Amino acid sequence: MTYAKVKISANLLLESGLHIGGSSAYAAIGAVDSPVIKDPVTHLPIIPGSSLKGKIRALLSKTDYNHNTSSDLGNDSDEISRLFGNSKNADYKLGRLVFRDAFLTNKEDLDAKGVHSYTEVKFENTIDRITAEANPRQIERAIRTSEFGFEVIYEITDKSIDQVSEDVAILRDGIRLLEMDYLGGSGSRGYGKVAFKDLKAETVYGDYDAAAISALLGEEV
Amino acid sequence: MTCKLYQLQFNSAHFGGGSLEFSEMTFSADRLFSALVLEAKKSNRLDEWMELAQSDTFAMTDAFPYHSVPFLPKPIGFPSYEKFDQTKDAVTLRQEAKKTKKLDFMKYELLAKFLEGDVIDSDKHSEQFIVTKNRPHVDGALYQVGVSVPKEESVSLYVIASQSELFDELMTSLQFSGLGGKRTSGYGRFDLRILDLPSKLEARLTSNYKGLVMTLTTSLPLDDELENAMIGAKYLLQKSSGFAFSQALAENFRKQDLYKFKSGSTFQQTFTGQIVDVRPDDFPHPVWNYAKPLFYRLED
Repeated sequence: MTYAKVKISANLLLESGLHIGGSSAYAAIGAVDSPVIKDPVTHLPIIPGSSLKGKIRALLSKTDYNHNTSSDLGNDSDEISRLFGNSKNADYKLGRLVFRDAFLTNKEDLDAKGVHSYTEVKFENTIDRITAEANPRQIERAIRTSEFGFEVIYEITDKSIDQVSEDVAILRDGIRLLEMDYLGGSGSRGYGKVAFKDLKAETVYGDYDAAAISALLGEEV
Repeated sequence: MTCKLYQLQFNSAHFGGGSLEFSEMTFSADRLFSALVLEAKKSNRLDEWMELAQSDTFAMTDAFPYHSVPFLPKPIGFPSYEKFDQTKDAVTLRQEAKKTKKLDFMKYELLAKFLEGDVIDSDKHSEQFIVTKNRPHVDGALYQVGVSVPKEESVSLYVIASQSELFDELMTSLQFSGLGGKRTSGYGRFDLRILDLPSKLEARLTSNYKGLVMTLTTSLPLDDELENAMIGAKYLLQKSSGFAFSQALAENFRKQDLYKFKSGSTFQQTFTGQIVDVRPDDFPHPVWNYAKPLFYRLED
């Protein structure tokens, strides 16, 4: 009987400004056209777990792990479904991964660097091809060099114990793909380049040696 | 069995009250119980857990706020009319009545004073807000999730439950699975601390007392107890329903609707309560809804 939970954590470093849009009503009304999502208590930018989960799944669904060309998540392969969940498959109604919201961890470092605010407002514009008229806009971004605490809980049961290395390899590939891609909005114009530093695993519940998982996570793809 | 106070420190959580858009501040015992059933099933201890939960000595309460001291729900139907100071003018009386109506929880030390007619200001424990989410490149895939965030870091939730090794173990492992809605995308993770109950609070917990009591669990008497329990009772009903989570069937079916007495309901005597099976028709396994009360004695 095996039942264990392994926490996979990393420091998520922003290598370029990040824009994950929030519901505009709550964040800084009137200041910026499109604000970023923030923690309502501390007013610091956060990365919602749903953004990480959705993006990693979407990236993995384009790889060899998946053979689903439709837009219906219910048709995803077993490998993807068992990690992220599939409401149409009785076995995988709840996935094995539990993502967490990532909170800003290096507020003090940023303060020491003398930043005024943890978000910046980037001014951009569009230029009409015919009239050459400019149409300016403002976009808020979480600033570069911010670090967030990334955390995923991976659940190991009797059913999944033979698939641990495969599962972790898929997740690792997803994370590496995310580093090659972008997180959040407007990624094709340079936003949202992220790096995962100190990717490691530790067992937080039950008996399981997480050293193999840690080693697997450290491997380059 | 001794009762302990299980303090749950959440960062953010979604405790839906019938919809995805709104989140409640706390949760009722059935939510925690069901989460523990699923947790026990994963570690192959379901029978052991059900046996413990169905035993007479086991009790568990709903979650209430904890902010340096435990808070308790407002006793429904109290203070009685004659406790109000009738010498005050009508406007003040109306204002105070509104204030009392909006009060949900109070510090346990203040409960006795409240019954004597004191007006207590309600504290704000958590912030409820709505986040909009989306599935890109899919039409009409916009949805909103209600989230509860504690107002301050020092605010947490707690439940009172009978301590046992199995219960502690399940709660420990539940920390990492989370509790509430949208767990796999970041909500509902908590840190657990097990504390001793304040002795004044512990002395008033009862499951067998003839006299004025307040239920701390959203609960339902056994069918043959119901008529007696309702004599002189002041209560609110709370609907408990939704989809049954099951890995036995590919389709999703709705549970049978169950109406229970909300925590804070007051009764003239205690009742036993039950764990109700609310499985949909022709369902392959039982679906349990926890409705066993733990009472708080209101009389001295």
